[in-house]
Order: sequence, then C-alpha cells, then structure tokens
Amino acid sequence: MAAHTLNIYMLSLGRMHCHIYGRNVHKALNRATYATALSTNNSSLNKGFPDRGSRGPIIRRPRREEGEPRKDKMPVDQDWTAVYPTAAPFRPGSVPLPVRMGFPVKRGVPPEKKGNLELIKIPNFLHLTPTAIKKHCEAMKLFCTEWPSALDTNVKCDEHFPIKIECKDYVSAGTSIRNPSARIVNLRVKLSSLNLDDHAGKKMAKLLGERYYKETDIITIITDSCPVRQQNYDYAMYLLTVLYHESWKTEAWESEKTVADMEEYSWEDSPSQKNALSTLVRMQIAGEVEGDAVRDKLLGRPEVQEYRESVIRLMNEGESESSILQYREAVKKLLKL
Amino acid sequence: MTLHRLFPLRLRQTIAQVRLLHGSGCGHQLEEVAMEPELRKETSVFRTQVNDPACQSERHLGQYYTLPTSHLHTIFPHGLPARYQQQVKTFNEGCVMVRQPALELISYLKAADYSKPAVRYLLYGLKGSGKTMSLCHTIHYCSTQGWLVLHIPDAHLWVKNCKELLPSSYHTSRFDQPIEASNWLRNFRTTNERFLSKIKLRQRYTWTKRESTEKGSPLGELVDMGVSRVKSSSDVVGAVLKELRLQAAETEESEGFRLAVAIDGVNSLWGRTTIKKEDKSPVAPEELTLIHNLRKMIDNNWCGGAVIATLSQTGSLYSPSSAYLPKELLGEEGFDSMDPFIPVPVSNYSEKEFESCYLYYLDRHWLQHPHSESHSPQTCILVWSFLIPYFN
Repeated sequence: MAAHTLNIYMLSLGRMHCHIYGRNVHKALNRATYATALSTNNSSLNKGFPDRGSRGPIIRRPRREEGEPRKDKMPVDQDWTAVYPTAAPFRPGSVPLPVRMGFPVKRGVPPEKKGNLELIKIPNFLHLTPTAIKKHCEAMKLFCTEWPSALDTNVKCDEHFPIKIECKDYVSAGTSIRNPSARIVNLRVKLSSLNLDDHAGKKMAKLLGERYYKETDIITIITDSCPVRQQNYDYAMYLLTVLYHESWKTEAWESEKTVADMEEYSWEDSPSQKNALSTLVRMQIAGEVEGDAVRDKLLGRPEVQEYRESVIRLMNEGESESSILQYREAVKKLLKL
Repeated sequence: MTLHRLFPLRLRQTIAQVRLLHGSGCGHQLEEVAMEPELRKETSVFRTQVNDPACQSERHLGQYYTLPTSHLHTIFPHGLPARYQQQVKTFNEGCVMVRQPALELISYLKAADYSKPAVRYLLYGLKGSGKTMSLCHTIHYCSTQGWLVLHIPDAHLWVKNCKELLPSSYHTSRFDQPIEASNWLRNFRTTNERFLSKIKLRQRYTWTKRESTEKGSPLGELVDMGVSRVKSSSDVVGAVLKELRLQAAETEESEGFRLAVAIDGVNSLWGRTTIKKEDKSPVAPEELTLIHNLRKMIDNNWCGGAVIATLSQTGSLYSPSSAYLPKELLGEEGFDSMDPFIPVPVSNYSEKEFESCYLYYLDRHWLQHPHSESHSPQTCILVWSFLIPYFN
C-alpha cells in the first residue's frame, strides 16, 4: 500500500518536471504516458515504473505484513482509556464491536466496519466512557474545593442561593486561547423568590415577556452584548435590579388595563356574571324587587358560586369534555332543570 | 374503543338466526378477539312502532322510528340534511334513530317551566356525529306537541354566497338579503300553517308610503306579503320574529303557544362573513338584517319557549376543521351571548346503535354482499366507517 502511494507521487512528480524542463523531456513524457509504447520499447527492468534514465531503480522498502488487529489481542479486563485516551476517529481495528453502518444495498445488510467511511465521518464518544470520566474527575479534584455539607438538598440551595449564574469556558487546540462565546452569561432566578406582590408580579411577567416561563416560574436573562464576561454579569444583575424596582411602581397609564390585557379570567364584572344575574332576576320577576341587596343575595347562592367556578375553569384552563360537562351541570342547577 | 367487545356479539337478523361473529382478518387495528361461549338472549330489534317522540324513552334507544310522510313534507320542507333526504327518497320512508342526546333534550323540554325565560340548548359534537338529526328529532317532538317551530336549517347559508345584497330601508347601515329571506318565509309558511290565522299582529307595520299591514291582521297576511314583495322580505322576517317573541309569553288559555327556535350552525351568527360590500370591504354579521334579528331571538329576554341550536364546523367560515367544542366555534362574543346555555354532547354511534343501523340497511336491502352469512362485511364496515353516523 505504501509503495502504491509512492508510485503515484513519483509519476506526478515526473510530469511536473516535464513542464519545468521544457522540450527535452517531452519525448520521455510521451513515452511515459502511453503504456503500450513503454512496454515494447522500454528496456527498463522495473515494470510499471517510469524510466529514471541513469539514476537507477527506485529503492523501495519491502512491504511489511499486516499484523493482527488490536481488537483480537484485547483482554476483557483491559483499560479502555488506554485504547482511546482522547477524541480520535473510529479505528475499526481498535474497536472490538461488530458494528455495521450504511445503506443496505440490494436488500442486503449494512456494510461492515472495515473500511467504512460512514463510521469514520461521524463523531464518536469512545473516549468518554464512565471510567474515563471518573479518571477526569479524579484528576480535577486537585483543583476543586469541598462542596458545603450544609447544602445537601436542592431546596436548601434554592433557598440560600436563589440566583444561579451559568458561564461557559472553552478550550481548544488552536493558535488562540480566546473564544468569544465565553462572554455569554446566563442568569436564572425564580420569580417567587423575589419579594413582589400581586400587581408587581404580573407587571414583572409582562415586562419580561418570553424570558419568563410560567410553568416553572423561572426568569432567564441571557446577556451577550458586552465583550467581557464581567461586564455581561454586571449588566444581567443591573437588569434584574431595574425590573424589580420598576415593577413595584404603578404608572398612571396602568389604570387603562383592559379585559384583553388580563392574564387570567375574573368572573366579577364579566358578561357571564351579568347574564347569569339577569337570568335569575327574570326568573324571579314575579316575586322580588330588584336592588343591590337582592343582587348580593343572588350572588351568594351556592349554585351561582358553582356556575362561577365552572365558567372560570372553562376560560382559564381552556375547553375540554370534562370542563364542559361541569359547566352543564352548573347551568342545570342554576336554571333549575 | 371497545372494538374487541363487538366481535363476540351475536348478529341476529329479524328472522332470529343466531350467528357467531369472528373478528378476524379485516383491519389490523383490531385488538385480540375473545370468544364468548354463551349466547345472548335478547334479539336485536332495530325498529320501534312508537312513532310519537313524546312517548319514546330509554327503552327505545338505538331503534328506528318512522316519520309519517305528511310530517316529512310539512315539518321538514328544508330542515333535513341533504344526504338524509336522498336516503328518504331511496327508501321511500324516513326513519330516524332514537338516540341519547335527542331524548335528553326532549326530557329537558318536558321538564322546563315556560313562565321563566327561554332556555338555550346547544348540541355540539364531532363532524358527522348526528347533531342535525338530533335537532330534527327534537323539532318533530315540538311539532307534534303543537309548538310553533322556527327552523333555520343552516345559518351558514345566510353569511356566504349572497347573490343580492340590498341596503336596508329600515336602518341605513344594514344590509338585506331578499332571496334568502323570502325562501325562508315560504318554508315557514309551509311548516306553521295552522298558526298563521290564529296569531294577530300587535303593531302596525309600514312598508312603503302606500303599503302597510294593520294592527290586528293575521300573521299569514304578513308572511304572504313577505313572500310576494321580495324587496322587503328581510324586514318582514324581522317583524315576524318580533311578533312571535312578544306573543309566545302568553299562557295557554289565552290562545298562547310555545315557540321553538331551532338554529343549525349557530356559530355563524358571530363569526365572519364572506359577503363584501361594493367597495370590497367585508360585511360584519351584525350588519345583516337577518342575522341581527336572529341574534335578538337568542337572547333570553322572552318567555314561553326554548332555543335549540347546533354548532357546525362544516360550512363555517374561517374556523379550523378540528374545532368542535362550543367555545372554540362560538368565539368570545358568541359564548357571552349564549351564556348560560346547556351544552348537549352528541357522540358517534355506540356498538348497539351501529348494529341497529347495519340491520336497518340490511332490511332495506341497501347492503348487498355475496355471502350474507359471512362475518367480515360487518367488521369491514365497522372499521372503515369508524362508527361515525355520517358514514353509515
């Protein structure tokens, strides 16, 4: 195999030389390119090799025999970290697994691993087995400090350290140790751990927009506008502080909040309440006279409360078969059917 | 789905032959079959002789009753779904299956107090599950009980494909639809002949400088005028609705009547229209006279009747095809107008109902298959129609 590559290299080198030296070697080039001419006319002993003239034959080292692949010599309890200490391409002779990859041509099977380019192209994590990672951890322990023993549960961590900052450091083999992605700072904090009342909490959620995830109640602020990590961290803390103070303030225009702006449905002063009250009033129109006391009395009735809850559930949770059935039962009781 | 339970069912024809049903072959989505060794004693009867909806009860669930031909022509000149009308023509009889939603509605109507404001009922369900047929069943009940039935067969037709749109003479910003209004009045006349001479108008209506309908004249005169004078038919519809609303409240003794407002596709009243004005801007539903008057009927500020409505996604405009629940089809505005209403769910066929349907079609010789003894056609039909009434 090695001789073959050498052969091609020599041939290409020969052609290059022709271009440099001009005409003199033109004839030699002609002879070299036409194989028939070569075989009949050439008296050189080396078949298939170009005519080196008086320089003599190319001395090649004899081709070595291929040894047994490593996988056949592997003991079962070997140290795998020695086989793949770092990220390396897939070596079919070093991996003792019968892996197959590729398209099964003509209803066959995927091709085997020997000489399989597909396996070499893809990233592999053969260097990151659990044993390898344990070894990494052991090596890194020298540079780490003890985790405080008092913070043994997640709950305690959240309680004492509600703000969590995440930064990434990058190491790569290259000319420069800098990586611009290292400046990004990710700040996470739970909204409930901040000292906010009802109005302030809603205003904060509106100000944050997409950065606040309602399901887990976590605010995520990612800053990358400054070039240095320290600056980004300061900016993130500044944003948090400003949001907190702004949400406690009430502006004049906040009184113009409409029904469409509300985060959740409130039954009081809704068309549903008005409809229900008017229906009930009409139902009893023979008996009582309308007035505020009557209205409050009607509102206090259990079936009205049940109706109120079913409507709130329908509006807030969205529709589903069960919520509609609950609404139906509530209306039936309200209308006394 | 309890499909696996269906396969050990004995399928008995009316000639009382017992057959084992194997759930083999057809349809890979079937679960494993359990064979029941013992026989079921009851015969599957698919027809009932009780043709009066008022007398039907849970015992008749899943059975077909026949609509008398005279009723078919008077009560349902325009009300039945198109496919069902074809079926009636083919079989020469109209048979309706007694199903749970319709029975539930009829029981509510029986139990309601008509001195209180009108109760709104809303039939909802998946496509093809039988909402319109349940509505027609209820209308049949109301008719046989002597109610006045105001049936709008498909409200979606009033908000789209309007060939002639006239500006309303009564209210400048509204639009009239003469063709739809006159068609509806004609059908209304056919349905409610006996009331036309009994109900007298409470108010004088002036149509033009020379034409007017006097106070105290019978309703029939008003309707005839609307049918003949197509231009003012939308306003006639409005007047008719108003009169009926005011007069339904009276008690039975003083020649009152009960009013049933039946609207199919009620979600079109609050949706969007595809009708455009001359300057290509879209027309909102409330700018149409017919829709405006119909919305007033749905309000529960009148007594002495009921409003029975159906939601329909097929034919509705700008709504997703997977929507079938009330709030998503009615929208915010519609829900607020209908609230509080009683939603009645309509589901697909149960196994018993499907069996009934299958026997009915066999009886009518609609299903023809070479081996009437073989089991697979039933399972095939079952699987491919997914128990949806529309496909049966």
